[in-house]
Amino acid sequence: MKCVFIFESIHRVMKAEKLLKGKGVKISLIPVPREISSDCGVAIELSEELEKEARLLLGKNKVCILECYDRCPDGSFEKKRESLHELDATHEH
Amino acid sequence: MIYFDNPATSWPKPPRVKEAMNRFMEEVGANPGRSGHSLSIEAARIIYEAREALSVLFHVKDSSRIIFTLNATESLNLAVKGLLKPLDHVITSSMEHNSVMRPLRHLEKMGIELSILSCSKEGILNPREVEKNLRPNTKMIVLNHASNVTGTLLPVREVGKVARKYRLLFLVDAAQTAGAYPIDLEQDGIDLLAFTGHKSLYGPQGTGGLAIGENVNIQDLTPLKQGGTGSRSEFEEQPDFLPDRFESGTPNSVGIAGLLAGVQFVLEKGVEQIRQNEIALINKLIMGLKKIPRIKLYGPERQEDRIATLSFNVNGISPSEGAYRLEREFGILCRPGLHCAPAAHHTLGTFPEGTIRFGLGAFNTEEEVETALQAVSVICK
Ligand SMILES: Cc1ncc(COP(=O)(O)O)c(C=O)c1O
Repeated sequence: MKCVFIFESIHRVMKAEKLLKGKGVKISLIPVPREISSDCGVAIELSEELEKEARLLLGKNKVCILECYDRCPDGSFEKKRESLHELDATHEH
Repeated sequence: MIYFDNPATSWPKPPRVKEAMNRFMEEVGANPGRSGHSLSIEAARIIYEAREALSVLFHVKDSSRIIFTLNATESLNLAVKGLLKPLDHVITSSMEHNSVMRPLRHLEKMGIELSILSCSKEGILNPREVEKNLRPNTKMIVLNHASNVTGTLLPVREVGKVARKYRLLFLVDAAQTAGAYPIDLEQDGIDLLAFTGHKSLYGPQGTGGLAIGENVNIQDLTPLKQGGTGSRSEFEEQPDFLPDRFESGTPNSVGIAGLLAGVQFVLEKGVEQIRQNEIALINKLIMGLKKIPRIKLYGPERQEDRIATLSFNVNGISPSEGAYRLEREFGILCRPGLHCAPAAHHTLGTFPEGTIRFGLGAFNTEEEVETALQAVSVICK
């Protein structure tokens, strides 16, 4: 399964992309799916196995993920329920 | 041709600036980040990298605190109009450019109190003057980092300490110093740094920005404009986060691509190295000009007090006539007159005729300085 990270601003997406790709985490940038209420035009998609590592990296570097979704096999998106701010070590204000 | 008008706009640019802009137009071209397709993302990447490069140059930890604007003028307007309210007191110097003076004079009409500290005839400000002029309602100090008329450096670090001590906002106009003189927001005690892209950062015109220090609460800074940001599009209110709060509308992406290349040039060469080369040339120019009779030089002698810009006059020849002859007879391009800084010329005693200004950049050479000295001595015959 794939999961999708949404960020506040394109600036953060770019920062996240550079960080993750720099550490060899495989991600792709996708237009924010229409089903997800859009915050900025671009989201980061990655496979579920990489989610934890990615979150740790982003948290450590104070790049706050706004929302996280699972892309379900039927193509729909399911918002993760747990509080991301608790999950991330730290987050940017 | 010899180009000595770098304080107005630097020229030539490093070749990579044009190449980066060309690449943007030919291979990228799209609206940054708005659309989510690959070209849009590439445009956003370039803007992100430009912010990162500038944050390295100015020692800003979080690059989202670098806001892009059209030029230093827009940044200065954003900072003063966005932070000052009627009855606030603001302190500035008598060496300011009109991009500081005019917005402040405008705000003065709206009920802001303004103190303009006198500088010496060399344009030097005694930092103790700042403390002497504090009032209970003093909110901000606005200071030119270096004069675009005489090249005089103002005591930014000392004034920064005063600003910290009294918890005042400190806005610095770095139009002439960004890229040509070391700047460290933290160490210099600067809260807001206004810079322009087309001078010593070697970018194209139409680029500039405001670096916002950690002490400034961005909710206290009202944006100059509201509009589309590509973020929070479902809401009709302006986003309150950086950098989007202050960056409405499609930016000058092709310009920022060029600016990134210019800043990379500066970072690779090193600000200190660029400064050393320029100072060596300006010293040579000063020494030479001093030997020519009929020349009056303005500005400080000591190199610690200046950047590589100077002003002079030739007794009996108006600045505009002198500059005209320098170009027509010797191909030297420079700028005569008041240089958008009437206050500075009042300080120097050169109002209203002004001066002839020579301003050096990273591409000027020793031969050019020698040729210019010969040219000036011919004019002075
Ligand atoms: C000291 C100073 N401040 C501000 C500016 C304004 O820069 P810009 O015209 O790029 O807004 C200039 C340049 O003209 C300048 O020399």
